[in-house]
Amino acid sequence: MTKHKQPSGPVTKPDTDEPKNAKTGGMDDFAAQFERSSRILWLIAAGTTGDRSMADDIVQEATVIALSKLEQFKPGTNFTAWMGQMVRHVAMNTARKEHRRRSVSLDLDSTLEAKPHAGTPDQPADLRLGARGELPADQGHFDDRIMQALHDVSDVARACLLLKTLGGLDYAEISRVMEIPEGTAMSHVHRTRQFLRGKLANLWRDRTSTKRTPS
Amino acid sequence: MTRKDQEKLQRWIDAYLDDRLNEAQKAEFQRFLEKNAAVRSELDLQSEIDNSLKRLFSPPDGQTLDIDQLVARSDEMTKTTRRSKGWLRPRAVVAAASLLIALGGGGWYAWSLLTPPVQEFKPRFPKLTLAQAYQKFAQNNFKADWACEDEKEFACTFDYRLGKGLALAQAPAGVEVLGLSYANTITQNSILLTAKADGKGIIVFVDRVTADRGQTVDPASGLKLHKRKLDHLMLYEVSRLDKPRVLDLLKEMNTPKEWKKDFRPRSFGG
Repeated sequence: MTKHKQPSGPVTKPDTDEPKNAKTGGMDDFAAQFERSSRILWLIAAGTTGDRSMADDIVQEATVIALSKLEQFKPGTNFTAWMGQMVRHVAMNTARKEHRRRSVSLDLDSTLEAKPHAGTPDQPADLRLGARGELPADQGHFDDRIMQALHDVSDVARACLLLKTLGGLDYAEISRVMEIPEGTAMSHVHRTRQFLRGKLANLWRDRTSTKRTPS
Repeated sequence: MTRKDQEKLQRWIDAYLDDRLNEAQKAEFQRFLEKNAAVRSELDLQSEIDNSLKRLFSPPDGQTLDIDQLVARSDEMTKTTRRSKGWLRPRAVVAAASLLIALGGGGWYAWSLLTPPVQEFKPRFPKLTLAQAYQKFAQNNFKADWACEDEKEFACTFDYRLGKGLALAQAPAGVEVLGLSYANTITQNSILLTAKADGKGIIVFVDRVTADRGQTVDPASGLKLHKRKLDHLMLYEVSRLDKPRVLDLLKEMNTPKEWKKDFRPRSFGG
């Protein structure tokens, strides 16, 4: 059994010029191209679903589909964009199924405003920790609010934001892997940043004012 | 500040965050920031949001691509598609007929037929609840899939699968740590640590906080659940004991890069 190790370290930017067809280049060539793109693909999967726990399986599932359609890959085109299309498709299907599976509405704003500390089966459950569980740290609460706010953002916007913030891609690269115009990619990132800042503004004010106030 | 000014300011903030300002513009904006605490605070908040996103969504290092297995699955999928090709023509007729029905008021039904077939997303192993997994391991005397050779393997196993390393402190008298296993419980990535305390079986399920769905165990089963949050990992200790005996032995750690470099994960699962 051949196992290929993916590179660790900083996110590898996608290649724009693929030398040859992965099919003709064989599986090793496919694996090499996959390795260069894997972290970007993972971010597309995590961004599209908004759930990192599903990303590994989505990328794997998309890889299976890609292998069955290798003859459709055009040499000289962007391998990451080609694979990214399949990752997005699988991720959207997965998210749709997950959404159907959950019968509870994800109206996070109203949930937060109405019951700021009441967990539901579909909410992060840091607030239901038992007596032995550690109380959620300030940081953990902030992360949870980010997660909740991200659910109100479109899948494309979420993916663009992650590709920019964690993938370190510029807007031209995001445009290529997401197959959207560059201006749209930029607009998604800017609007999502503003949206998150708006959602977190009150918490941030409380947090910074608490830090300034001596106890 | 007018709406126009507000939009202009946002454009400056975005350009600053994207590092698209030239040196002169950057200096000008920084002078502006010195005088404007509200905008400074907004940038600090954005920086905190970015840090949070990095904590929540940093891709795992060193995933393996099992190309042989993927090729086999791909071949199987191709065969299935070929077998179903004979259905294409009759299905098109059915779809066209359904479209006619849709025009008569059956839109939803037609839409569902015309939607491209969704490939079934199958988990690699059957999903178990925490109690089911506990019962399964109890039948086998809590035998683990493997025992780590050293702290390096222990930390890397968690880092590889869940994005954060864990360290295990020396177990006190009466507690025996048996090893690690994989099982599709909280998610397919869950790692189970099995142990015994005073002869009674304990399983600590470890997964990401973001995967937490308020898991519980049925009190009627006699099992007790104790939870602990460690950074972005959530630990669930399940046993018949009233108090957790292993949770406090686990500490988060930043796995050294040199450890991760040569790490090869064990391939178990069930």
